[in-house]
Amino acid sequence: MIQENEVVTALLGIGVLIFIIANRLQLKRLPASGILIAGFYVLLTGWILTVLEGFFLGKLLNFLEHICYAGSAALVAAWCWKVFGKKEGWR
Amino acid sequence: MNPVGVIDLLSFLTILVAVIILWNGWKCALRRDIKLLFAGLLIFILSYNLCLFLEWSGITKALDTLEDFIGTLVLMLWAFVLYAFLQEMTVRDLHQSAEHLRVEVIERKRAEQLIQDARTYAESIVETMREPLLVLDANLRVISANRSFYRTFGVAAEEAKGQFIYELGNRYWDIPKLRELLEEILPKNTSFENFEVEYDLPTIGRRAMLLNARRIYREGNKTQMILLAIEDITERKRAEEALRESKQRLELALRGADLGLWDWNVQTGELIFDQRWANMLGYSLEEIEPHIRTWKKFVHPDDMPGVMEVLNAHLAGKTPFYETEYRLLTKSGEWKWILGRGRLLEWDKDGKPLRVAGTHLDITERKKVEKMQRLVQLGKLVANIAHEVNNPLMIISGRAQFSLMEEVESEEIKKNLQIIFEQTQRAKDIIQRSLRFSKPTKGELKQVDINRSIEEVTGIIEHQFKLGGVKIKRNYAQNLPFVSIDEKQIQEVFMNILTNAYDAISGEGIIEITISCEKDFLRIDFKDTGKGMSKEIIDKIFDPFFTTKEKGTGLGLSVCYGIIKAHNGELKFQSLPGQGTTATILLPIKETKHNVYDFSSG
Repeated sequence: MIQENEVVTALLGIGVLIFIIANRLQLKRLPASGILIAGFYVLLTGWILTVLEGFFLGKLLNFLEHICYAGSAALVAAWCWKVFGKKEGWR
Repeated sequence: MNPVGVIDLLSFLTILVAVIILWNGWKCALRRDIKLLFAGLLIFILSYNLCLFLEWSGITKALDTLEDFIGTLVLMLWAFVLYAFLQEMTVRDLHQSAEHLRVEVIERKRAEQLIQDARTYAESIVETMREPLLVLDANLRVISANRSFYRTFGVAAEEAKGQFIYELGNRYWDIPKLRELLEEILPKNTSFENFEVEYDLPTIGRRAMLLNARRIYREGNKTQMILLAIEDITERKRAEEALRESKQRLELALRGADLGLWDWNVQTGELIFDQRWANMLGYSLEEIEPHIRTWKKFVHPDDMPGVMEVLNAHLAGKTPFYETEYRLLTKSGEWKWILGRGRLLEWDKDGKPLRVAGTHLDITERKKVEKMQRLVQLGKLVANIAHEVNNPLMIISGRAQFSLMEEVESEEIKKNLQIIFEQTQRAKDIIQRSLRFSKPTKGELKQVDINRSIEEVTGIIEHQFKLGGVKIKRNYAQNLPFVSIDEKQIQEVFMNILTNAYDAISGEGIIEITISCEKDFLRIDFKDTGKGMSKEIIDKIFDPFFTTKEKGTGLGLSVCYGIIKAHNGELKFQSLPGQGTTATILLPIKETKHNVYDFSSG
């Protein structure tokens, strides 16, 4: 069953994705930018999976959705460690 | 617990760790508002994960709506955070650009200061220079000049600047050739050096100057200029002129005195000679090695010890100068008498002799004159003695002859008287020769066929020579001109030379007489196969009383020499030990006035 708010969130996520793609060159200059952007992509994947689980493979996709949230959390934590946890992180 | 709930719990805890990390690294260089925004994002993710955990672990489902709301906010916050990061990067870029700009400004200021320093430095040099300097623009108008220029040419700075160079001062620079050179510099990118000019300046009088000019290109404003440097060479030229005149005077003095120069570096052995030194010995300057060994090679071996003694005494500081007379070997093999003079001029830092210089004077002629003067004195002495001895000798001889004519009973006395008579005759003969040497008689000249005259002499002695094993070989040229001579005197010379040749041959030998015509002279050569003579003996052969024979008087060849000289002829000997001797007589063919040879004339 499709929930409207999930669709809106997914659409918002795609909007942010477009923003990232448009400014990818500048974002690349962020320290460890790859990890942070990857964290967002994985999170976005989770939300897309939320929408998709309403159509098919509900249980599996739901499980994968939560895996994505966990992965995104791990990537964001890793980015924090790289940027704020080290002296040479953000200069 | 539901596995999804476990995953959500892990997600929650992971984000919690991220929050702690951010908290610990709060003092990083990131702007505070961005850090707050990012912290907000983490808090909302944390909240979202908490809602998920509570829902999927079965604790409560009441937070479902909140969860959806937070999920939407998380997305929006992601967008804000990323945007804030972009802004931060832009601000950082701006800061960096501003920093670069600041650094550039500092660098530029520093560079400008350096340029200013260099300029001040260059200007101080130019102003301090004693040589006048002038800078012209492309139209040959004065841009600037240094103080020396204004002072030298008596031009004021305000007056000169912007002025056309040819109109400066009293139009000093308006010289056609200089115009040509100056006007070529910029179009053809040329330069010129040492262009000499002479100016009559009101301030300092007549001056000789050298001009040097070259193009200067200023990269900054792309302009071309001409730098004209002027060197005052008046004093240098005067000094050069004075030196040249001094050298000329020295040269004239040396030439006048016929002196050869030498300059010896005692420590290296280098010995510099001048042209006259070399010419004195018959060499050119290029033919002699400029070294002390050259001089040593030329010095007569008999004179070397004496010369070295004098030289060493001077080098040791025992004498104020070096002066000595010695013989040097000429290129033709003859010896020349030299008066060597010199003085030690320089010492090294240890006080050892370094440089000695001096002169050489050819005194060969003076030596000959001195020798002749000695001979004249000797001749006078001999004449006096002969005169004094001749009278008692005549009495002794007459008394002996008179006594012999009387009846003498004792054979012993008779024999003694005979010996006295013979020896007094011999003594008279010696006295006659001595008188002839010291005071040659004025001969009777007549035209003589020399072949006949010499045959008369050989006719007397040839038989005796043959008995002694010596043959006479004749090479007489025919139809020779007659010569004007005192025949008796000349025959005495022939006899003397032939007798000497015979005496020089031990055992068998040949005397070859050659008579020929040589230009204006009749030449008579007597070549023998005898034992020959050394050069030292030949040098003394005409000295009176010099003889190599046991019973010789040493007057024979002296008399011969006097007779031949009296006939304006030449008498020469050529010989080498073991290779025989050739005596050569040259008699002038033209009828000449017969002279009494005067030894004092040389």
